[in-house]
Amino acid sequence: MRRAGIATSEERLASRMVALAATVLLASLFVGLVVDVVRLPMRYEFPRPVRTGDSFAAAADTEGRNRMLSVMVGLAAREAAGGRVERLTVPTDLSSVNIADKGGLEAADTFGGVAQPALDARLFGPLVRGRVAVAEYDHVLAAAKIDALDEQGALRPYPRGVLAVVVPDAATANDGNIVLMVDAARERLYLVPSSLVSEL
Amino acid sequence: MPGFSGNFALVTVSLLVGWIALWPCRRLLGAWGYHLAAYPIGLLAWPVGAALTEVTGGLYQLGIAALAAVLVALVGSLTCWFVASGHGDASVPTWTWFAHGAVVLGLAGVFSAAGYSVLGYDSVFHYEMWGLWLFDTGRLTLRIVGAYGMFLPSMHAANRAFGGDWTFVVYPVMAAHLLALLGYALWRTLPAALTRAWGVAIVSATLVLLATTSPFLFHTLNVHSHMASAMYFTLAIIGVYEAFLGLGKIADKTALAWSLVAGLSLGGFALLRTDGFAYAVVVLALAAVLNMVDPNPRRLLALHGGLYAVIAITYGAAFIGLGVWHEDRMSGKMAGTVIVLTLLISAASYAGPWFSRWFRNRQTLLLTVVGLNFAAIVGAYVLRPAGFEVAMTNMVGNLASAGGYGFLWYFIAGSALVTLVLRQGWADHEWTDYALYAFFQFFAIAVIVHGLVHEGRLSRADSFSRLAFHAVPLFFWYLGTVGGGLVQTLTGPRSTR
Repeated sequence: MRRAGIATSEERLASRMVALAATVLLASLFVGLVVDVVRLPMRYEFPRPVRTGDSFAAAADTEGRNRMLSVMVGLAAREAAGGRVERLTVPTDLSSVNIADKGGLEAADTFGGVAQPALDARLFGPLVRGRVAVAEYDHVLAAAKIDALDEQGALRPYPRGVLAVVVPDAATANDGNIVLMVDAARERLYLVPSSLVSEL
Repeated sequence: MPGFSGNFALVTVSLLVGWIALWPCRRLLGAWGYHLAAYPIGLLAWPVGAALTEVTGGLYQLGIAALAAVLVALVGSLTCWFVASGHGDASVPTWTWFAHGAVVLGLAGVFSAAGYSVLGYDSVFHYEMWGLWLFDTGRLTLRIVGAYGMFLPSMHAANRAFGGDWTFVVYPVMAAHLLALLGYALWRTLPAALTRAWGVAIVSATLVLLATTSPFLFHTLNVHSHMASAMYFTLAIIGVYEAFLGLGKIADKTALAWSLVAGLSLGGFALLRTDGFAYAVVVLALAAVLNMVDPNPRRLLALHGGLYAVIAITYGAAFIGLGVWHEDRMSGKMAGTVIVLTLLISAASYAGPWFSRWFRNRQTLLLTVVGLNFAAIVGAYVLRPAGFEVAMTNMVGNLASAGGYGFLWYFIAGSALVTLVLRQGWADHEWTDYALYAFFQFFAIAVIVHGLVHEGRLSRADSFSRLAFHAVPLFFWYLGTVGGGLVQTLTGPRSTR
C-alpha cells in the first residue's frame, strides 16, 4: 500500500521505462526531421528569396506571372502623373496593347486552368485610385515621337517593357491625366500625360 | 535611402508603440514577456490607422500613421493601467530596453540592407497594391475587408507613409519574435526540477529545429499573412497560458495583464485573414475550458475586452464605411454572423464553471470537448459530404506531400501519437494536455471550415496548407515541454533552474 500521490519504486521504474521508450521513438522521429533539414537545399519546394530591395516594381518583376505587367502600367502611370493619377485612359480592347506575348515575356499564368490576361483594369486600377477610363483612340505612338521623347530624356523605364513619359515641366503641363499607348511593333507600353498626346 | 528608412521606421515605431502601450503592465508581464509582446501589440496601430482614415475621410499618410501610433500607444497604456496596473514582482531593468531595441532594430537594419523577400501573387496584388490604395485614398474596399483582411494592407500603407515602397522588413522581425516567444514559453513550461543545462539544451534544440524547417524559412521572408498569424496565435496562447496556469495563477493582476495581451493578440490574429475569426475560436475555447477548471471571470473579461476592442474599432469602421458589404469570400453579413457567434462563444464561457461539476477531472473535460468537436465535424460532413471528401483529400495530401513540408507533418503526427500512447512517461500533464487540445482544436476548425466552404487544392500555395503552419510553433512548444518531462523522469529530480 502506498499513500496517494507517492509513487512506489516499481511505479517509478515503470515510468522510466515508458519515458525511455517514448524518448527512443521521439528521437528516431527527431532524427528523421534533422535529416530532412540537412537535405533542405535539395528539397526546399517553396519560392526562393529574391533581391527586391525597397522597390515595388522590382519585387513585382521577380514574380513570373504575366499579370505583373499590370503593376508596371499602374506604377508607370503614377510616375507619369507626378504621383497622383486623376485619370488613366486605356483602349476599349486591352488585348490590342498587350505586349506580354512579345519579347519573351510570356510566362505561364493561369488560375483554375484558365489563362489570365496580362493587362487587367482590376489589377492596375487600384494603383491609380480606381480612376480608369476606357475609350476608343489611336493608341499607337509613332517611332519618331518615341525618339523625340527619348532625346528629351522624358522616358523612365519600368520592368517588362513599360515606360513612363515624364513631362519636363510637370507643374505646368501635367494635370494627372495619363493615356496608355503602345509602339507600332507592340513591344513597349508608354504612359503618356494627356497634355503631351495632343502635341504628339 | 528613403526605402531603408521607411521599412526601418515601421519596425521602430511599432516597437515604440508597443512599449508605451504595455508600459503600465511591464512589471506584471516581466522583462521577457513585456519586451516580446511589445512589437506585436505595437503593430496593431496600423489597422487602427485604416479605421481612422475610413471614418475621417483622410488619406493614410504620415499624419494619420502618426495619429494612429499615438492613439494606440496612449489608449493601450491607459487600458493597461486601468485593467492591470500594479507593482508586479518582476523587474524590467533599463538595460533590457537597450538590449531588446538593439536586437530588433539590428535585425531590421540587416534585413533592410540585405533587401531579400519571398513573394507571390498575393504579396503584390493583395497586400502591397491595396496598401498603396489605402495610402492614396484612405478608403477600405470590399476586397480589403472581405477578401484579404485589413491588417496587412494597412501595415503596407503605413510603410508607405513612412517613405517605403515595398514592405518586407517587418516580416522577418515577426519571425524573430515568434522564435523568441516560443523560447520564452517553452522555458516557462519546462519542469521546474529540470537542470538549467537541460533546459537550455531543450529550448535551443526546439528553436533551431523549428527555425530550420522549410516552411519556417519560407514564411520568414514571405510577404504574406502566415508569419504574422503564427506570431499572434502563439502570443495569444502564451497569454492564456500565463493568465490561467503560469504567472497569473499566483497573482490576479498579472493574470489580467496577460489576458489583455492575449485578447489584443487575438484581435490582430482575427484581422490578418478573413478566416482569422474562425481560428480565434481556438484561443477562446482554450480560455473557456481553463475557466471551467479555475473560474475567474475577470480574466475572461480582460481577454474578451482586448479582442473585441480591436474588432469594434476596425470592423466598426468597415461597417460604417461599406455598410453590409458583398464579397464572395467574406460578406458583411458573414462577418457580422461570425462576430456574433464568437461573442456567443465568449459569453458562454462565463457560464462554464456551472458545467464544470459534471466533469471529474481535466481529462474527462478535455475528452468531452474533443468529442463535441468530432460531433460537429460529423454534423458538418452530413451537410456537405462531397465537399468534405475533396477537402480532406486535399488537406491530407498537402500536409503529406504536395504542400512542400517534407517530413515535418510525419514528424508531428508520429510525435503526437507517441506522446498520446506513452503519456505516463512524464509526470506533469497539465499544460501538455491543454496544448495538445488547442492543437487539435485548430485542426478540427480547419476541417469544418474547409469541408464546408473551401475545399482547396493540392498545391504548396493552397490556403489550408499554408495556414497549417500557424499551429506548428504550438506543437513544438508542446513537444519541447514533453521532452523536458521525459528528461526529468529519466534523470530524476535534481537541482532547480
